[in-house]
Amino acid sequence: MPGQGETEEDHEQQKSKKPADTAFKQQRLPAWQPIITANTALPVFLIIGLTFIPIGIVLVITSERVLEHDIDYTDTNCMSTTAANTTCAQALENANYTGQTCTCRINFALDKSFDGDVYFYYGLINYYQNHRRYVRSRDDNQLLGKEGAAASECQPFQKNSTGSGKDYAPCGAIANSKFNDTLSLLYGSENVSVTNLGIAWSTDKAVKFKNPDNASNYFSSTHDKPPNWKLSAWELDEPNPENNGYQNEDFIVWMRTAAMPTFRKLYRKLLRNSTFQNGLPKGDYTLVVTYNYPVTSFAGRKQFIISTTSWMGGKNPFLGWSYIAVGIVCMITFVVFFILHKTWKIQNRPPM
Amino acid sequence: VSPKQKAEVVELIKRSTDDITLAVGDGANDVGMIQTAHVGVGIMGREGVQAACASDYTIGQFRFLTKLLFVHGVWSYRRLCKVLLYSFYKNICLYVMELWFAFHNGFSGQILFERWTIAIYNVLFTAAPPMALGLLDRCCSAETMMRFPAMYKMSQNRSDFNIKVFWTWCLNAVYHSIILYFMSYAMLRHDVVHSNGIVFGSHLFLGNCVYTYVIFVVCLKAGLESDSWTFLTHIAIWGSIASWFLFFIIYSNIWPTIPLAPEMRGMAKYVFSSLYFWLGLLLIPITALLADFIYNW
Repeated sequence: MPGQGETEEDHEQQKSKKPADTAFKQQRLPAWQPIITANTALPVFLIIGLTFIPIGIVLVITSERVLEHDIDYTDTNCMSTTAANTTCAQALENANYTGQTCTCRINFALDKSFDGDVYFYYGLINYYQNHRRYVRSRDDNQLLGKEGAAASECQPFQKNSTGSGKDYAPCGAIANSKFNDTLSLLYGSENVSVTNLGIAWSTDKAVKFKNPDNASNYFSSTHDKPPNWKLSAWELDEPNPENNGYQNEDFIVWMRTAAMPTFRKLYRKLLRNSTFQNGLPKGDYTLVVTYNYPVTSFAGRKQFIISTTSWMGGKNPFLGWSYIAVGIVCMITFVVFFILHKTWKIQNRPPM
Repeated sequence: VSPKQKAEVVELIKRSTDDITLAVGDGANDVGMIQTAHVGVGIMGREGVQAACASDYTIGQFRFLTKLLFVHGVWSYRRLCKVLLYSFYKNICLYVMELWFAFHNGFSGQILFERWTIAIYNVLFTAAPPMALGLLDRCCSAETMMRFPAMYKMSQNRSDFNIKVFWTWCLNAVYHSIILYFMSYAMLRHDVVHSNGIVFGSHLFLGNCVYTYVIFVVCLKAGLESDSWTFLTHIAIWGSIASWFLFFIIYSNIWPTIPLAPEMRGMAKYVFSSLYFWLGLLLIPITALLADFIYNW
């Protein structure tokens, strides 16, 4: 019959158009429906409180154990050994920053011995290595030793346009402003043995910085040294060709632009032999500074920092105290809501 | 009653009240009113397919209308609201951090995160959680919704998306970004976060730590806001976090083989080898979400 035939066709048509009856398409996926009740939330706070507070205590103690000694040698501490009654900062200013150098000696004492590995840093304050124009002023291809002109991001430190017209090697503002004070330590009259290797990121040294072929020719004739540099890159560490040119670790450390305007950079590591086998002994020391780097014109400050490390790193109690604080907040929340929960439960009981 | 008159009745109601109108019909003479109403529902079947073609929603029988409204209508409303609010939240949370960083870089406009990381944020790392919220979330099962039709009121009184709710989410995003940025900043301020004395240098190190914490907070926030966790929700949340870790590891190793992102080279190695990063990962996202957890409770 025609009616039945049509209905059958309709049924077939309807069957083919009907969406599949799977859990996904019919919105029937099994689900966990978390409802946060007192019974689930209170243990969470208790557990967080009980784990965070001990972690925090351990971190604070670890940080307290790290020994650190800072010496600010920007101005008044560093009196010139040649000009009478002038700070080195003043001496540089008097010479109008024309590459004058100045030496000073600062006596200080360590009242505790610094046991274990000791690290020496130079610190800068109010120095914005994270400024946008500064951060992009580099040429990573040039630092790989590749051929080619220096990148335009390096401007105005791209090439020596007023003089020879040659590209600067390395180009850019970051390279040009490389820190060039020398800091050495005397223990009484003995030199403290240090190494300038192993201070940079190992990936940087292995992969990002490579000297070009025929390096001495590259640095001395085909390229110029940056305007603020006294030595060319090939004179940074001549006895050690692996640590010379672009691969010089002090240079690599400097090129990793710091995150904040107050920062430190690893300068040297203690070589633990003879007197310094166990670290830096307690006693009187002298810091000998060759003051080349002017910072007073922008209210910057320079520091020399001696520090040990813990299994975590340097001295920073913030994390420890935060753990303790959050742990205490959780415990207080737990106690408050526990009391509230108990009182309401009692109130909700039906009358006898 | 002619089609034009049907449409005019709907128009009258629309103009005299503030209400949302819905028209349901199954024949060609209902097309006018279906198109005039805010929501048009067409019944596909006996009288042909014209009504269905002109409608916003098509159902097979009149009795399906209850399920369309009470189940799918409410679900759809709640899901849309969540997706909208969440999308604003996750973007505000990340980008406001550039403002906090500006205080520390002399307002020079330097960004804290690497630019491709930022670009892929919405495309890959935080794309799945809003999809899970929008497709799968449901406050109650279909049977419950049908049994208690009064729950339909939820979608009628603007409870899920209004000015107050919107600004609360925005402020929540700012609050999270403050905790995430400033705690990370204080944690990493003294530069030496490895036991071998190396200085981490690089704003990108701070940026990548903060970025990881943001991904955690933002994805877990989606989970917190989700009323029902299906296995796809789990995949969306944990999978997004995993995709960031994977991307980070790969992206930190491509220079100079691929001439891209020289500043990221070695990042993953140094970030993951720093205990400060891991301890911060345990502390900082939990601190950020603590208030949200209490509020949801």
